Amino acid sequence: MTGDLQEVLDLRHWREADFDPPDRALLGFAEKFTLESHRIDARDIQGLRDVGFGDTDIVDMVLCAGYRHYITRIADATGIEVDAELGISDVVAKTYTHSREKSPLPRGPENEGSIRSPAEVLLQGPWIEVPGATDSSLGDVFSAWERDCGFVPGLLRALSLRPMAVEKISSFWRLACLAGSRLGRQREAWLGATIALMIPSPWLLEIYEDTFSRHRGSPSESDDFPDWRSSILPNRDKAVLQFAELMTERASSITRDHVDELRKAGFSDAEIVDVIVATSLLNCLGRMANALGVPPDFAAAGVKHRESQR
Amino acid sequence: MQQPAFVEMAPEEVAEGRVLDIYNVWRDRQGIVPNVVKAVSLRPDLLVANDELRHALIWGASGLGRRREEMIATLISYLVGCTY
Repeated sequence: MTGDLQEVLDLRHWREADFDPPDRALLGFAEKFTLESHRIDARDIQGLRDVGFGDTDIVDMVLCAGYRHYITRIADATGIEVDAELGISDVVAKTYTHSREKSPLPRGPENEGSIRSPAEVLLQGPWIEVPGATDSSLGDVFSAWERDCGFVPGLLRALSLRPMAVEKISSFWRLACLAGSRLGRQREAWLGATIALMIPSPWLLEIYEDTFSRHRGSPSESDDFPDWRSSILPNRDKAVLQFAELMTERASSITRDHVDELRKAGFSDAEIVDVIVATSLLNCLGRMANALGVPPDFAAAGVKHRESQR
Repeated sequence: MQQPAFVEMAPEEVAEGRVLDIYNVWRDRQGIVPNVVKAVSLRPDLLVANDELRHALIWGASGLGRRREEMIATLISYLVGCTY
């Protein structure tokens, strides 16, 4: 923690507390990242620059905030408890213990049309400096994406000011939920699209729509994608998507009963871990893309479907 | 008394290879392996990737400094209701 207990307590009501302008801008950005990442725009980024943050700092904020959206969901969905051995201040524990009935995070957009037709301004993104191809030390990472998937995700380019982060996110993403993870292509597509619609993240939705279109199951399934509730997906897959929606909307409300529903649907605990990790990571990626103004990869390039070059 | 997690966690005793290395670092640093590290232990490859992600994104990997990283972490944890 910060080492200053009062500062920790003040974070709950940071607007009224005595934080300096850069800290206030950072907290405001983290809050918007959490509550409505899809409404972050170039003005928010400029606001951070105005108080002295550079583009690398902004990328760092996005990475930190994105990581927290990942790891908090891991913690809540797996149901782990605070490590008793580490101890926690009683004051902090009481202050930060939340009712499970707390209202869900706000949803948006107002209509599906806005996520499917990103505003022209978004297609001009991202809003931060992106190193040119010749400057990037990520040549091998990006080449692998081109070779295996036919494109380089715009989010990874947008994060290029932190090459190590890009490397680790890239490998983790492909391990957990893209291009042949244990989930399988179809489940990757349904999961990715479901979460993308909830965040909402146009960039993430397009990637998984592309995955679906290239690896679709039965023809009739495509009429419903990504509306899983009215689809002919097996109940097993619907159980995963229902759990993923809850993880996205309010992971802190997950109980053992919710996890048991996945067991009843036939998933082993290891497979449940796969779902939890994938869902958590996708929540991180979609929000990071929103925060940096990453446009949908194919719409921005004027290409609807890219063929794999495998 | 602590309640068991919602999903099984692999016993620390069976850890090997890279996972064992990660556990040893935690024991050296904090005396225990935190639950959040063991949470995905049924999938060792994800546990390793998780650990590498953590070190690449936070804990001094950023230029924000530990204080600002923790401010972001604390506020977001509060907003999403994550007690851990």
